[in-house]
Amino acid sequence: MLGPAIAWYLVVGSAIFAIGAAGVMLRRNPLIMLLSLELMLNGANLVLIAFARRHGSLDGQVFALAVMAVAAAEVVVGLGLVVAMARRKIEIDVDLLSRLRK
Amino acid sequence: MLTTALICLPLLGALSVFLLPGPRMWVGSLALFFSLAELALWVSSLIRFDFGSARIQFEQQHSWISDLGISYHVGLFGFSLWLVGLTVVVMTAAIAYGLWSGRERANAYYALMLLLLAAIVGVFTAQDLILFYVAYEAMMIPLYVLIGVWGGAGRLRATFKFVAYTMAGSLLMFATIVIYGLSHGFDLATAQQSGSVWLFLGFAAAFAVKAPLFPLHGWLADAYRESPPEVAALLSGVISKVAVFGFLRIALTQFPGPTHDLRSLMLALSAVGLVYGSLLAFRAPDIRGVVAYSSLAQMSLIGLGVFAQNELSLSGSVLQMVNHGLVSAALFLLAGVIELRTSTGALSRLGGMARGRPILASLIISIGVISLAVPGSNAFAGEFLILAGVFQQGWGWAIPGLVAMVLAAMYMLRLVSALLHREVGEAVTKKAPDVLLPELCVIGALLGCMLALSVWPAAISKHSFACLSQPPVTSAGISSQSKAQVGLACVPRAGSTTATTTGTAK
Amino acid sequence: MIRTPAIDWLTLAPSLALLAATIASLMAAVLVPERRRRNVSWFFCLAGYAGAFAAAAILFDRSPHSRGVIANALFRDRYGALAAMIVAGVGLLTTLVYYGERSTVDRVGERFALLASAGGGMILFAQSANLLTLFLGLEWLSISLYVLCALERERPEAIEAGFKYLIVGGFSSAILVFGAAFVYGATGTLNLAQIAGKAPSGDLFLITGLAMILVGFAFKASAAPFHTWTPDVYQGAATPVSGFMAGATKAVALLVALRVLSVSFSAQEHLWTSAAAALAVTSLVVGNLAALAQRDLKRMLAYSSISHAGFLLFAITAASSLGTRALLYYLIPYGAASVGVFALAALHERELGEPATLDNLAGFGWRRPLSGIALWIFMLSFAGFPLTGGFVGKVYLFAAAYRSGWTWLLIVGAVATLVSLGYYLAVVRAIYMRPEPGEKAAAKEEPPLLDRMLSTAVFAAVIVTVGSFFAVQPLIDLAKHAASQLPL
Repeated sequence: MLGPAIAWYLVVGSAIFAIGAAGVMLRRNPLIMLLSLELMLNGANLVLIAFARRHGSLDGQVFALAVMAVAAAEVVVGLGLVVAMARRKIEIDVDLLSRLRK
Repeated sequence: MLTTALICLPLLGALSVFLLPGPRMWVGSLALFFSLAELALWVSSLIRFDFGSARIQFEQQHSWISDLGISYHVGLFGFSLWLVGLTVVVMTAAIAYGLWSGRERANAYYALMLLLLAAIVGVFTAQDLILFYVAYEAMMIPLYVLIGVWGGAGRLRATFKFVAYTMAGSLLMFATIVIYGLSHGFDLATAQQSGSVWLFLGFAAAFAVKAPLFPLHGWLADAYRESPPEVAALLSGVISKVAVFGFLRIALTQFPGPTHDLRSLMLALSAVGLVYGSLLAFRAPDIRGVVAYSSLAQMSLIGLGVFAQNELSLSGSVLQMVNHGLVSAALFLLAGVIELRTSTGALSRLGGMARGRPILASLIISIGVISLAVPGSNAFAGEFLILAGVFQQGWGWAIPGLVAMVLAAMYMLRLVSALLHREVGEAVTKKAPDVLLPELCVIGALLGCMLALSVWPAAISKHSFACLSQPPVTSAGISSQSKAQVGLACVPRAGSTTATTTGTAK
Repeated sequence: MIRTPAIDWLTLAPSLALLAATIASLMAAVLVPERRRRNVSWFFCLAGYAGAFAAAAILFDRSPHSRGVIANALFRDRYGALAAMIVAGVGLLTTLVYYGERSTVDRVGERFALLASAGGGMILFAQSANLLTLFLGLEWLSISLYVLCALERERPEAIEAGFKYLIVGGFSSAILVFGAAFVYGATGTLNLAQIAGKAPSGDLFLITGLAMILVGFAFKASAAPFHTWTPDVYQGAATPVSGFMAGATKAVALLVALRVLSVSFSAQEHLWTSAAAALAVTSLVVGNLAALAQRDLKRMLAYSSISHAGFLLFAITAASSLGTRALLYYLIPYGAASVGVFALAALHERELGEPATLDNLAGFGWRRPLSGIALWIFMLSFAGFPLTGGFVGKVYLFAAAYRSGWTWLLIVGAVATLVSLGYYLAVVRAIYMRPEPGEKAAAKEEPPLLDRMLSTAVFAAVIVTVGSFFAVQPLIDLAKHAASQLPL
């Protein structure tokens, strides 16, 4: 087998996932949060593909493709909402999104 | 079928009263008609009832939640028949009183009253634990709204306390029922007995709140004061009996061991409640307070009789349940009559009402005299049987009972004199009329029932536990073994066991 | 030539019906002239849900044995079919309620398309037999709901709710995918049935994957501590949509969770039952206590739905056939009551033009006697009072928990029910016992808003809620057939 061992892919994938998760939880800019969501999904993708390689089956690869497609759809909705927020002049800062909860 | 009809007729009535439009009087009359029909139905079941048999009668069983062995199982037996009768009589009086006093939002009001009637009848006839709980909780639904909407100024606080207390008890009972039912069976006629103290306490707590027994009576005064008078009459006259019925039907029958172990505790609580309630009644500043706390005392006395658990005390308890139901319902309705005229119940502002109001005076005095158990009255018969039974259990337990009888005389005479004698109170105007004919009919009917029972108390005391009525029972005939178990054997369980235990009871 | 797996069209029929409805209403939104657009789109959505319900019923009838179809991507079984029927039923009622919802913008066609689409996703999700279809179904339903929440672009609250839902939903899906990746890594398969037994039961990857999948489901079912999105989203979304989310989304999330856990992770039962018990208790505590403090009706109902997630988790904790039956049974009256109560909230909002709160509900029960009684019945059902299906459901759930040895959960459940009365009865108190404020007296003059569709939906919901108390047996039979197909 060429390239580094599976474990390295898992470490990198998990790291990307963790960075993404931290981004969603800590950052307050909607765009960055969407970006972080993508990071999480891509971390998962990397892990999926690594495992697919280990098991020599295509299932993981197919899953990763599906995740990409879904991620794209999610981002489209997310960006649409960001644009709508900008148009309605809603603050682009999630901490200020507190119209609810009154 | 007859039992199901007893449950369904008021339900049907509730539905039609709610949906049919019409003026207030018309709607009320329809409700009264339904409750009278229910009364007729009950009388017909009374006539067809076989008091010699210890079996469940007019029985009906249908599978309901088959997965858990829960069924729709209803039927009547000795003392539950009398309690259903009490319910129907008091409810009819309450609806008639409501009709006369012209409640607002008549459709909803009478529909809820009839729903309440169906629920109470359901409690007394249910032979399945879950069905029992269903009816037990279903009582809360109309009661909550009846007090909360038609009650007095402090009604929201009163409903809150009422719900908090009773639901805490009954939700505990719910968990207990699930545990008990899954391990012993849900059907009361076939469920095995249990020796678990915890399960017993789960049931006992719920019933002790509802009765109420000391120290779980915190909701009592508020609820009785803030309810409309006819609802207060139902609360103290009928719904408190549901709790005692629960003790008799479930706690004692299914848990002979724990009942025996905890008897001293329950007797002690009852004794304390009896004296404490009497003292509070003596000190209460208003009519309803006196009646409410006297109710606490009376329920404790009945509790004493139930937990003494011998045939004298048990039959006395059933008799006294009916007596007290009638008396306290009549007293609450009288309180309503007086409040209607003076718009206050405070004893300090009342007085001298006897002058020019002979009917009111004679009603109050006769019911008051019955209530303090004057010899010859039905209440005397009941209290005497209870105390005689308790005496057999241990003479020490009878002392609080005797003290309470003296106290009862004191608080009742205080009430009578505060209302009727002394100088005329500031709230009593010359214009306040005497008891009017409709009021007289309602309260007079209740008084008539009391007098009938005074003439023949044995109608109930000898016809509540079928196996007691078969042989002539003398006090000498009670063996030491039967002291603990008798009475329980008379509550229908599986048909065959009743027959055998009856044999040993002789 | 590419070899394709055999397609079992009947299994797909419920989702396909809704997919077709989605396309048809979307087309109608473009092609049909404006004044008839609402009716046509609405009709397609309604027909889609009715068709899905019928197809699911046929599927239920014709699937006496559970089997994987379409290359083991979907289960053809009664469990999935019953889940589809619940979703379709809730969706049908929601469509009726949604008809009269006022819109600030002209998007009447799209909303019905999205509603149908969300239902289709839920059904696929409920039938999924491997982690990939599971993820696709989940995303299908989630993305439809994100947009549905935010559809009323003119209302800032709606956009906020949609965005919050998107972020939290995406977050939970990512966790789920990550967990699925680890499960795949441990076992080498995505097929739910084959996951069991492929790896040692203590395998670290497998346990990690299990934990993350559980968290993903907990988000969707809004179980505490993964509930934080729920109040904001329920409050911000259009009211009928909130009812749909409470009744259907939670239902499928729990049903699929139970399926995945029991089919794939039977060896780790001791782990996930404990986790479910912990989630249940947390949800009951958080949901009940927070609901007590709410004045806004929708927000209160959101917390109530969190506490219901707690009760429903009893079934997963029990991990038994009885528990499965309890869950399936309880979801029927619960779904009906959820739609019904949000429908009444919507009615009140439309009448008033402002969000329903406990304060402005004063006098509601007297102004509209029948709606008042309906609201009362739904509250009683939520609180588990007799004469409603909620009571039987609670008996069932408690029985399941007790049978599996979780006796202490019964005590927690009893206490939680007692606390919950505080806010359920607050609604009853508000609608009957509080005096109507003076300004409303003027509004009383004009006749109350009449919305036939909404009334029909509320009436149907009442029938289901009360009927499921009296006619328990047919529902038990349904649940029994469905539950017997899970390996519990």
